Amino acid sequence: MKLYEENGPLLPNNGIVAAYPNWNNQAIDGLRMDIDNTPDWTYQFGYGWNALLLNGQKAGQNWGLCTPTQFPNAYFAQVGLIFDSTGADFAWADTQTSCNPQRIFTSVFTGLSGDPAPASTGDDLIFQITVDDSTDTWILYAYNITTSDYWYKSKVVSSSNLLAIGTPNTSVFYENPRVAGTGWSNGFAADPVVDNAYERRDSNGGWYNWSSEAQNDFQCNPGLLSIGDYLSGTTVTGLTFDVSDIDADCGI
Amino acid sequence: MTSKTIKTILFAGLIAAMILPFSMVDFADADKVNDKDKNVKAIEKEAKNTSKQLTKADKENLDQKIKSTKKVQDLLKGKNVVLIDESYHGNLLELEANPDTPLDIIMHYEVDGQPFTVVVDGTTNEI
Repeated sequence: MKLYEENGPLLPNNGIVAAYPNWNNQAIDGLRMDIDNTPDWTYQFGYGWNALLLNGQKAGQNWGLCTPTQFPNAYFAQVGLIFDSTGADFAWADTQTSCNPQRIFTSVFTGLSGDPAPASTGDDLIFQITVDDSTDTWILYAYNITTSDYWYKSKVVSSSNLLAIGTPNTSVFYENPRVAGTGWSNGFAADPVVDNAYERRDSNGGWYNWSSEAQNDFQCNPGLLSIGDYLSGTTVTGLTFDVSDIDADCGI
Repeated sequence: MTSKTIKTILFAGLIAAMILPFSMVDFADADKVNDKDKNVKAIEKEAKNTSKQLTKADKENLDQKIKSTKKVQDLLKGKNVVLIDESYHGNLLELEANPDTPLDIIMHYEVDGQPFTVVVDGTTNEI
């Protein structure tokens, strides 16, 4: 058992995001993020956490996404990796948790007084969010291919059929809380990489490379560099987040 | 095609490349995902099957069991404890070897507004 005191991931509002746009108006009901090598992370005292997250917003109402009373009209969910003082941990959040993170343990269930490490450096991971139109069920997945451990959570969200597109709330997101008085934590041995992201098309249920994407920074101050300095590649070729440029240019 | 025409096309292509913002990336050819699909599909199937197993009554019973456990009571004494949701953990290799292997249940709470996680071992039922 573990009581976490850190504030966790919220809507994409401070970080670097690769969003699923609506340029091609492709209807999707699933999103997936592959991290082939879990980054080597060392917590730096005095700095906050980092996170690599997969976000999904229910198509329709786009406000009240972190307000439980707006559920199920509004729904937002995220799942991914948090890097903090305990190492790399799986986490999820949704509208009913007020977007506050819930930690997931998938590998270590014995010796719970210690800090479990569901993802070790180099582990091959998949995160996924899907919506089943026939049952209105959202399922969040985290799968450690290296260890064969998997985790999932399902929730019935009435009148769900598609993920919203053209919003940073349906996206791959690199987040740092940027705690006031501290910079972005550069605790990575090498820049973190999201190797691929995929879309599940409502038209045939198949998984495909994202048909397009938009890349932006959120609340990066002063933000004098271009997005290409913070992020290179795509969800097809692999997204590499340039932590040193982010750290240098997006500090408070 | 004349050299002038080719130059015009190249120039137009260069201008187009300059106009298009770097951040707008459009992938014309989407390749269907093949790798890792087998395992992901197995997990999806398992998730669909297993998520039906925990009834509301089961969840309430588990919640009561957790809250009556001494180590939980000691840790949470005097605090506001709210059950948020449950999730599940399994191991694909174990499941392939024995399809009847029960999944671990992860109970997610908020304790005075902070997340709190309790894992119930699917095999031993231990908290």
